[in-house]
Amino acid sequence: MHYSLILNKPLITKEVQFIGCNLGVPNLNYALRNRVFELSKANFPHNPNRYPSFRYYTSQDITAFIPAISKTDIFSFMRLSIILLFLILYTVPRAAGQDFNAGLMPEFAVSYKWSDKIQQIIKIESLHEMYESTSPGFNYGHDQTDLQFFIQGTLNPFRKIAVGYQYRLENGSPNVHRFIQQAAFLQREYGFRIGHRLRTDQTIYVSDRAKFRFRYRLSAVIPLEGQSLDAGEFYLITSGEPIYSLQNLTSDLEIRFVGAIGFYINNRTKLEMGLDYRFEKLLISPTRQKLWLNTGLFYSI
Amino acid sequence: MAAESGAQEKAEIEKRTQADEVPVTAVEWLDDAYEKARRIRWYYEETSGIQSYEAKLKWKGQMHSVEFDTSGMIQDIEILVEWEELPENVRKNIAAFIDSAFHKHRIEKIQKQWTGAPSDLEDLIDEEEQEALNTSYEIEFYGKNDIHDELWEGLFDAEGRLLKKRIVKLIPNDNLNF
Repeated sequence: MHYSLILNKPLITKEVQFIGCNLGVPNLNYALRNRVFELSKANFPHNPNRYPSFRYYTSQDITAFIPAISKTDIFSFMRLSIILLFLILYTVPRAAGQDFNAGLMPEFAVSYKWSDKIQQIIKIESLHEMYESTSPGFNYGHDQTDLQFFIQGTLNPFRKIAVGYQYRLENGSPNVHRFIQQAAFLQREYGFRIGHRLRTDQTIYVSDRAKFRFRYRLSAVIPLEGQSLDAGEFYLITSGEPIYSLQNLTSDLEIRFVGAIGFYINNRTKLEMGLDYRFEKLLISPTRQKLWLNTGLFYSI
Repeated sequence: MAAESGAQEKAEIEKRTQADEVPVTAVEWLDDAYEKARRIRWYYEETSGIQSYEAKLKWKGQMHSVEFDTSGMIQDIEILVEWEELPENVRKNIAAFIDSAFHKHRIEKIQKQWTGAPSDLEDLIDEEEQEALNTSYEIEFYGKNDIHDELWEGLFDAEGRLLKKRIVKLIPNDNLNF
């Protein structure tokens, strides 16, 4: 199946301007372009000014359109990102004085369906420290990068189980291996969704005893444009996760909070940006706090 | 097998919109029927290529959603109800279908659908008169059989007999799981 990206360059009329910038189809014929025009008009009858600036379509089945992302959507997403950046800059000095680190956390997840019931997920997540309370000022350092591989089984539309392996590249320490098992439940409420994730993991260190962790994450996805989340719409995603760990017979607790704005581009792609606040070593003093500006891209093949 | 007939997937666009972008006829009908209704939320919808406008509001303790076509003509009124509120024979028929078609099932959401002439639908809301109206039930349920393990949306007639059904595809939720 070919996908084409249509950008706004002059083609049909002054109001709707398209060009076939093809990834697979050599040239769009005129009839096809006209169909694109009609469909985009039909998609937004209530607001004719909101023609899409670009959109994806399949060359084989043009009627199965994915709704367009307008320029306004992209601008408001950028605006929100800037607000988040200012928020992080405001929070950092206030938390100074404690053991506090802050930085960037990009993550990228790709999922691939083996069958209706089995899915493979590959995820890369890395932490880049920008601020450390012990040495104030801008301080860049690569903290860690995790490479994760999961196999997920769908028990029914609401329940999934997964097993995974993670290889962590850590700055200044030997790389570590982790084995992960999880069960996830989806709960649908009027106007929002709740996700429950129960996870256990075992981390193997070269020079230390293994660490066992038990974690539960409660997340909520709230569509910001309408009651259900559709392509081309924003959503709010928030989560809380206590993590209990056991290593060398010593217990510890960590709590994480995430608040992010997401953009559901189409049924393959989601983009999220937000803050991930972690309270670590709650049972072993001194406690530590970490704040990450998180950017996540979720893509399914 | 009855469970397989008319199975089709649901594709929908639903976007929040404002009253001033909705056909005037629709807004006027709603104002007349739901007098002094507060917090009316308007949505623009597209289901299988058919465009419509929908108003959602709380009326006498129940969630109502009123659908209009692009000319502002009322299509139907849907009221969110509980299983226990359905007439006994309707419950019996619906349960008989679901039981026979799926060995594992759970009802997720029930909407009672009213269709008819605009004036009769108006009487239903402001006079509580049910004359000359058709009723049906739109039920979202999870159903598993030997072939399918899905979330379904079924339309049942006034007696609770299945008219059509389709699979409801949930959007991927990898961001909640990983």
